[in-house]
Amino acid sequence: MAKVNNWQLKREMEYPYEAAKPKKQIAYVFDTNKCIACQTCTVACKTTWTSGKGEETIFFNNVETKPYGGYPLRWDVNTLKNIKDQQWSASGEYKGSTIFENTENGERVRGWRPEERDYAYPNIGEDEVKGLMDKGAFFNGMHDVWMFYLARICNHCSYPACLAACPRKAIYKREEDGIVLIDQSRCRGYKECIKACPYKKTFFNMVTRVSEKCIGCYPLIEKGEQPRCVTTCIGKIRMQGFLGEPEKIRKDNPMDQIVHIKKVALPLYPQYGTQPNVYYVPPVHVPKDFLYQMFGPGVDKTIETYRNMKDDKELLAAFLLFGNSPRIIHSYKAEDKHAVGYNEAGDEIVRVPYTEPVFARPHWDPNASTFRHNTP
Amino acid sequence: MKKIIIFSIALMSLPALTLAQKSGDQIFKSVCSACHTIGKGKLVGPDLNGVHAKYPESWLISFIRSSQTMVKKGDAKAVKIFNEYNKIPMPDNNLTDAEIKNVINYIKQNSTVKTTTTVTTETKTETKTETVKETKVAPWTPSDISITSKKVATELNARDLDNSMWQTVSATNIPLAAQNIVYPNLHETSLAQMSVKSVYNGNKVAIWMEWNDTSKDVFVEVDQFSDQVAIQLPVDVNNIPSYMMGNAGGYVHIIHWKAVWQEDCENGFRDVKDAYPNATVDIYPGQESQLDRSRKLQSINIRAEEMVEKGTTFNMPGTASGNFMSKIKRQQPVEEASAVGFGTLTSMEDQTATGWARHQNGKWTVCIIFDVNSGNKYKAAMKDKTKIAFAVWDGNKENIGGRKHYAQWADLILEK
Repeated sequence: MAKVNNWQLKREMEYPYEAAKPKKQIAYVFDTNKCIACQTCTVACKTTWTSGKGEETIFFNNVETKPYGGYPLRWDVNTLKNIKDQQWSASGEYKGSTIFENTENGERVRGWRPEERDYAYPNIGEDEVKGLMDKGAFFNGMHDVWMFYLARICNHCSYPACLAACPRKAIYKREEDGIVLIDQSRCRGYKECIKACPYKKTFFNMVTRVSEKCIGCYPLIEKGEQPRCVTTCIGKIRMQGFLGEPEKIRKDNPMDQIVHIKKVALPLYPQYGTQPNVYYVPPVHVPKDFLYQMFGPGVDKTIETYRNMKDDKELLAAFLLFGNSPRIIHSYKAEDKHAVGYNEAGDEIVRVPYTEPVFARPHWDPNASTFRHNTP
Repeated sequence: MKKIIIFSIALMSLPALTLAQKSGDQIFKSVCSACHTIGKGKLVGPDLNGVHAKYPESWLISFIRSSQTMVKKGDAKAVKIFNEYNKIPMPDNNLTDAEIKNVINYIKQNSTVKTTTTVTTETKTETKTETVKETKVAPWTPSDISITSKKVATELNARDLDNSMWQTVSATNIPLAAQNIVYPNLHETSLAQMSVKSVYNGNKVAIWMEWNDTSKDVFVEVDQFSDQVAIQLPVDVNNIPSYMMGNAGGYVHIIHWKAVWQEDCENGFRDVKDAYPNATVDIYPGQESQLDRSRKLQSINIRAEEMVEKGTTFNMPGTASGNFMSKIKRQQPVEEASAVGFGTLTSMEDQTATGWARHQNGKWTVCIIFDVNSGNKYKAAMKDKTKIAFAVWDGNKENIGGRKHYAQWADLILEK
């Protein structure tokens, strides 16, 4: 085991390989507050990548309802049971063990193997709320019970557990963009990655008898475009870009602005130790203890910053760029009236007004000599 | 006919920890020899010839117990060895000081440099190294177990498991150990031994294997595993590589049988519908026939073989990439592969081995047939003898990949 630095844990941790940082690191921001679980992302991904024989129960992208939903079943709690002392110091350093530490004899990762039936209910617990409503309860500005939607894809981790567990090195992290891939011609279907990945985002194909995973829509990334699940999101909850290392932050990179500078999006279960690269704006209405466990100790500050975003033009501009261009935004500018996004070459690719202009149409249309009706 | 030599169990390698205190000979053969030789050249790890003279005993004890702890501490010698051997970590050994001393004594007794002087300084160590003769290849030395391949005049057919010729060949007992040397490993054995017979007819060698396994495991599901067996042969009998998948520069030729491939050959490819009779899907892209209502063809009923015939495997990534694991139409339940160390197993283009198997009365019987000399430089070629090693997977006990039972090199002697 080598020692690597995990900035999300603010400490060094053990990992089977030395750190080898890609030139760029693919990253995503998902705003859970805007997700309505319409599953458009799920279907876009499914029809693009996993419509084949043997992929019937494989969803590289899924949206589950928390607290009860989970695909595959119990993916999160089964790993939480396996790691010890999930405490954080006041300065935000993780004190507990990761899945690479406290491993069982002879194993590289503290993993667990899902059962075949665990993949059979991709939308179990849909819209189920935490707890029962009391008789006579009414809406009083704050809901008595809660639930929220969690959209999930492969985290293209900086320290992938799937890669660590593969005895054949059939899993690799691309140098050019940090996308984690399973070499379909080298995999022999040992299923070690399936046991190891704490997010359970590697899948076994029963027809090809090898494992598959989210490929980050790399053919699109190579063309400078954002992945399918991002561009099809009707709620515009997602943005894909490239995240800098904490010591190499670019203020004009919307990902760096959101994740590193304003810290308004947090990794999912950072205590697992894989340094995941999908960052979530936590739901603002969910009990804090649940969120601390899920997103780490930064939750309070994140929610406060998120609630005050309307007064922070720089941050607001970054969020306005979500879902407004299929192309990857490498840098942006918060102009007076617009948020402007640029591609890698510095060309403007998108311009979004802070306030949508209002167009009023008079009731009488003189050209057609008729009244306009809003006919459904 | 040369009598088959069957050694008693006590001489065999048993997994570590089964005896109270093991001798250096036992430990070396069962644990160390996977990666090291004494005076026969480098394998995965260094040749240990004279290593007792090169390092102080206390250092050796710490290193043998946990080399990675020493590397992490930054011990210069440990780091140097680690880097020199491609950063492949030597696994920790749960041995007592006395047992480690037994191993060191065994190395001492078998080294060509017999010196008891402990050399500690770096410069002196280097001078000493020069006196230790480094052999590049590991030449033939007899193994504890020898299997004699009986000469027959008939054609050999793997499917003819009931051929009376097998009654005339005596079986060699091969003890199996849990692979607990490298990750991913198996901690407990569930199969104690297998029985091996062999015949050859001048062109082909047949290996007949039988072992007790009450559960017949044939699965493609994510949480279940198939039974398997593999034989391994050195490519060059004059350079015997590590019995653990070979080593850099030491190729091994592996022939691998899987219960699920046997099923594919006997009953057709094990498809989604075979594993889940009630499964249904909306549509598989690229399968126009499913839209033809007159055929009343449900998408789920389109078999994988049909997709291969039509060439519409674009959304079956493993198959489209030509992965041998993802092969839909299989003629043989065996695979020929090549390896030069852990994690390097690669399917060969040239598949000429044949095999067949049967599960009956709680036993697997598997027959594998291969060429005596195929002409392919990555396959085993033999004149009168070679080495053979075995691996067996108990699917029921989640055996897969490195989580397997193994047997070290045995001699395979072709009867004159």
